[in-house]
Amino acid sequence: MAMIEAIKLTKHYGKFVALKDLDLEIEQGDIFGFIGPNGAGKTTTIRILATLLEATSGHATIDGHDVAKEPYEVKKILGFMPDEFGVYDGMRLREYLDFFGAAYKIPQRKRASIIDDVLQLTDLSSKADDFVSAFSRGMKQRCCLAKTLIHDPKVLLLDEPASGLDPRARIEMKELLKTLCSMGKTILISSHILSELGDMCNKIGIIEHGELLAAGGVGEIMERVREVQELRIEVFEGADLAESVLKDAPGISDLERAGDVFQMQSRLGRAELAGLHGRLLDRGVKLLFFEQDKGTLEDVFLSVTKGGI
Amino acid sequence: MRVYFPALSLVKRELLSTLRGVRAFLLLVLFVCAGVLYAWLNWPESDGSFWMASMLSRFMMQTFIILLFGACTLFVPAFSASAIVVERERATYDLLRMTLIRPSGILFAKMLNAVGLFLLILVGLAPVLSVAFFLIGVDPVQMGQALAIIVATTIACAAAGVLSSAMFNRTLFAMGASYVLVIMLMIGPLILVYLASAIAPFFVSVRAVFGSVEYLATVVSPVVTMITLVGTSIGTKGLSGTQILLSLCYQAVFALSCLGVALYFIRRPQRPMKVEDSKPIDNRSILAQRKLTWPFYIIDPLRRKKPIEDGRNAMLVREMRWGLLNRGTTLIRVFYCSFVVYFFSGAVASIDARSFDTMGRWMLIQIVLTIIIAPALMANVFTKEYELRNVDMLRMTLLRPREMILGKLFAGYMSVVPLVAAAVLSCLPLIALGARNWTMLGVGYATLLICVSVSLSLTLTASIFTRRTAAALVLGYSLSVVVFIGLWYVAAALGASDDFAYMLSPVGSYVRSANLSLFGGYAGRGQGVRLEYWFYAMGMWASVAATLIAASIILFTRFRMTDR
Repeated sequence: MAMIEAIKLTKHYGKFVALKDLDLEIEQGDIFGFIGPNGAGKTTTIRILATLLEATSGHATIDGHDVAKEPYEVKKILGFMPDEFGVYDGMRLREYLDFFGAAYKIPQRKRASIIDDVLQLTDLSSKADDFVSAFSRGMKQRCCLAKTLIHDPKVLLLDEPASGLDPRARIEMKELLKTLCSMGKTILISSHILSELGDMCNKIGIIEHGELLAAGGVGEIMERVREVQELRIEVFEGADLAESVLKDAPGISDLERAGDVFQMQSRLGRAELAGLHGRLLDRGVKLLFFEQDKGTLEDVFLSVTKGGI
Repeated sequence: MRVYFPALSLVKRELLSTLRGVRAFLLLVLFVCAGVLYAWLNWPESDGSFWMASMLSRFMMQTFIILLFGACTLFVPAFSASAIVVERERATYDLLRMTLIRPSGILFAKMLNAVGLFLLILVGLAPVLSVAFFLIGVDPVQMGQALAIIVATTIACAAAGVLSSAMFNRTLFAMGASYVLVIMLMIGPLILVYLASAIAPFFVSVRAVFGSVEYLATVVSPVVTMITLVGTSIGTKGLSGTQILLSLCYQAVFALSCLGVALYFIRRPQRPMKVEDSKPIDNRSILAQRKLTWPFYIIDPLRRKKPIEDGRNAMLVREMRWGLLNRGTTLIRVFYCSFVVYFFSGAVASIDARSFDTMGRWMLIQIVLTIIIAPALMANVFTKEYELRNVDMLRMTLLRPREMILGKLFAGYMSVVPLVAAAVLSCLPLIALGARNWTMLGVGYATLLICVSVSLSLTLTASIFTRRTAAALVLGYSLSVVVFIGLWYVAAALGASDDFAYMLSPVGSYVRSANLSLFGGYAGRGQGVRLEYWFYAMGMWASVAATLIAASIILFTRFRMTDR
């Protein structure tokens, strides 16, 4: 059973359609990157999944609990970090986390150790006695993440968690999310920083004008989206043999040779590519380098989305 | 034109954003409907005498004017207090400062916006007001003077609001400061005049002093000016042209002073926010030493706070421990200020301390003052969560709606404690002077608590259904006006029996059960308190307060836990 599932999720704001028949399925342990331009419907989707917004039609479940009918059950297993959030004046970080711990009904005897753990996880232990209102933007992001983790949720919905962070903090955030994933948590993360999502996520979904244009594994989508990819081969021995194999290979075009290096356009899928690699080896070609450039998430995003508001 | 006067673009934006919204339209409709309803209810019967019609038209005009004056005093400070502070909260203030609009232009635009809506309502009400001219008896000069005072008060209140808005970074503080300034405008110099008059007879003749006091009071207090001006038919002497002019000058000086200081705050480069970096103190001896510096460390802000205990409402504990009690010093100051105000009003009521009415009238003043202040303490309980952008995080917790509502409500009750305590203590001089009517005192305090409950419940509802503190405050006061005066008045005008009509207001019920006369006279002297009537009425109003709280929980669960 999928950990997060949305079926035909639709949201209208008056005449404006923010979300149109969105289907989504995220398995346990996935880090799902939600990509889309501003106003595409990412935050709307996340807020519906977080029980904060009512869908016009369709339904969504988190770990089998309907977000509209069982919001209390959903909240128990869900951690939500909004894109915009504030902090309370006059509260120290430990007190702030204690309040949210109490609000999540964590018994007092367990709360102190849990707070220590999340402070350590978010690298905020040294700031436990500081006032949260005096934190910098990056610190507030971490503080909010610590609050989101306080009740050890199975599922995390993170709306632009890295916005406003400096490069070091972004790298740290990326590492933290990988750690959380290794702890078995399912993470849905929306971001504009595609390069980071590409490194971090094992699945992505691309949304525009409220419609999910593509969803699936990162490599799979890249292959699906980019029909023609660049293949680069460097041989150590047998360049002429390799040239003849490549010329005869179906799905290969625009072959260029520069000494022992070949560059060409490929329409081969993963299996066909493995076949070509095997044929070259069978013919006695010694390969130094064999790589089909998948492109970047930016390329995929640009080719899938149309732009415009 | 806008190239030469860039401020005009801001004026246009401000007026458009305020006046084209549904809120402005609804307010206008509400005021006009209320005016029409009032005129219709008071229109004399066709067989009424000429004298009756004349009296009625004057009474209608007086009520219109007083209601407009009250509305401008209550609403304009709240509305204008968000003028600049809201730009800071939305982080658009720096963008505004970076444009070519001068600080004076910003001030002008904000000021125009602050008074615009109320003046529009005034213009919208003009046809309704003019209805009174169909009946003979209204003096156009007197009406013109009253309207001039209302316009001047609107401008002065708006200036106070804009000044507060320029001074603070948070709407709540700006709003509080705005009301404090308006209170200073209304009664600040008046208190000084009365204090001076208490000392002056030692040096000059009593007659000369009281003549001057009366004259000065009409000049330095717009409330007294207005009551004296429109109250000619209820025994006051009316005002001379010079007094009106001086009163207008007083308000103009106040408004200009506020605007001058506001301009200074807008021009001044923004200071970085104060960073709180003090660590909590665990050392008991240091804490004990700090406690000696009373009253500021009754609740030491640096003492490490306990974790929230199991089984307790986390929202209530947060509101109390980190909200209300964190501001222990402020609470003490609130207590002092309230005590001074209550004591002063109590002293005024104690002039005739041995009469039966005295205790009742004195309690009535405490009740009215408390229900005027209570909405200001409660209005932001939910809106602050929206303004601080904490609401999503709160809704995602496992706190049930009832825990959130009751937590906020009880914290609201606790914030009124200093006021009630001040009211209780300020009755001591009255008792010392011999007005020892314990039944009246007990009934008065019980009524005070029920009135506070009703007022807080109404404001809580207002706070749930709005997202900005200014709107919550205006809605809270509007609902309070309807509940504390409106229903009572409509029922009386429709000819309902006095017992029934008075019961439709918690304050009215008290007045009726205590046999108080509101405008002089001693109608109920010696009759005692009608306890049975009082029990029925207060039982009803306590139920209304409880029902409002229950309705708030249901509506919050239905409409606010999940957005639509």
